[in-house]
Amino acid sequence: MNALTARWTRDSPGGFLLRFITIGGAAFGVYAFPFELFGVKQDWLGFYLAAYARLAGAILRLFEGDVVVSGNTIQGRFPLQIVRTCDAAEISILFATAVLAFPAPARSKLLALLVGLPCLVAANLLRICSLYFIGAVRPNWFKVSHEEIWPLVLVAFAAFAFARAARFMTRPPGNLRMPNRG
Amino acid sequence: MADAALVPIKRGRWWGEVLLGFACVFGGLSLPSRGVGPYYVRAHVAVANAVVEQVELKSQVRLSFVATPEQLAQEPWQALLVIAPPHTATPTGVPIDLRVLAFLPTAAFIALAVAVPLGSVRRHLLVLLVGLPLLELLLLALMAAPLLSFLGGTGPVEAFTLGRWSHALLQVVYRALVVPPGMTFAVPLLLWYIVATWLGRLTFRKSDI
Repeated sequence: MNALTARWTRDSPGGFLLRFITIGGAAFGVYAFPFELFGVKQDWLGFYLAAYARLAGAILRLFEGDVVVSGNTIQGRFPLQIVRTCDAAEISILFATAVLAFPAPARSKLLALLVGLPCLVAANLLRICSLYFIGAVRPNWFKVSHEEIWPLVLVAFAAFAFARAARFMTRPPGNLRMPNRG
Repeated sequence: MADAALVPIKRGRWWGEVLLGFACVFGGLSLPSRGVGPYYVRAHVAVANAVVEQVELKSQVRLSFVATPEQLAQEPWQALLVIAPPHTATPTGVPIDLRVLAFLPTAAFIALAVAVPLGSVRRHLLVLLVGLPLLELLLLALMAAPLLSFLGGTGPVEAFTLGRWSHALLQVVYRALVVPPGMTFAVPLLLWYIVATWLGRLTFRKSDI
């Protein structure tokens, strides 16, 4: 038990990985658990996905006034349904897990999450809006944009965001302000 | 000595060089949309068939992977798992997109192994030599998870029986690591990080995690 605790608290890549795998495993275990196999209602994320659709729809309406959101579906020139994975939850979970597993004070982790997660949501909203226009203007490009280009961009963005967060979190105590540039 | 390799020249420039290197290698491997697809699929189908031919199921359900020239002409990256029940004439087909499930993660891993400075050519080669087989095994397991669940009772043909918790475990793996499009790139990124750290832990410091 002591050995496990020592490994858990270790300030090294090995300790980071142990914490990352444990926290991430638990988070993904909850997010991806097939509750329907155990008789629990399947669409427990329905409200959240509908909220995501409304948010994306509100942004799209800035450019196209006739966009309508119904439930988790955006109706317009190119209909989009926001389902699980469209929320890029896996990217947010990975980012949050990496920040939580990082050896840093709780306050700086909290700040990193408070800034990083909204940035990832904003990037994902940009993805959804761009996919709407790609679907409307170049339907042939939709599949490759949806399955190959945007996932790569989001993962790269999350990795970059984490690198920035790690840099911020390793600043000396008393210097916990957000980095401006560099 | 090794530590000097990752001492930031200038972080902006470091990121720029990594992104450019990654884009060149990954783009070179993955841009030709049809590209090596048919060869890649045929090779995987041959290996997969060699494996499933050894498997004898109590249910007498027969499994085989198919990628005919006609299919590949339409879907150059798609293989088909054919599940043939013993007593009915109509087999069930499960399409498997090898580009997203296997080729792109492999290309991303190679690009990372080449593009991110690790201090020496030897380390880059070691990451590739150790990481690629691990990645292929991992991808195989990730592809197998939903198929096992499908064959174990969630699909129309029950080739064998799995308990509820076994299904739950397979479904968690499937929904967490296979379904989300971002995992196509997050899985190789994480494996690359683990292998690169393990092989050259002196190269990485806390601030470089």
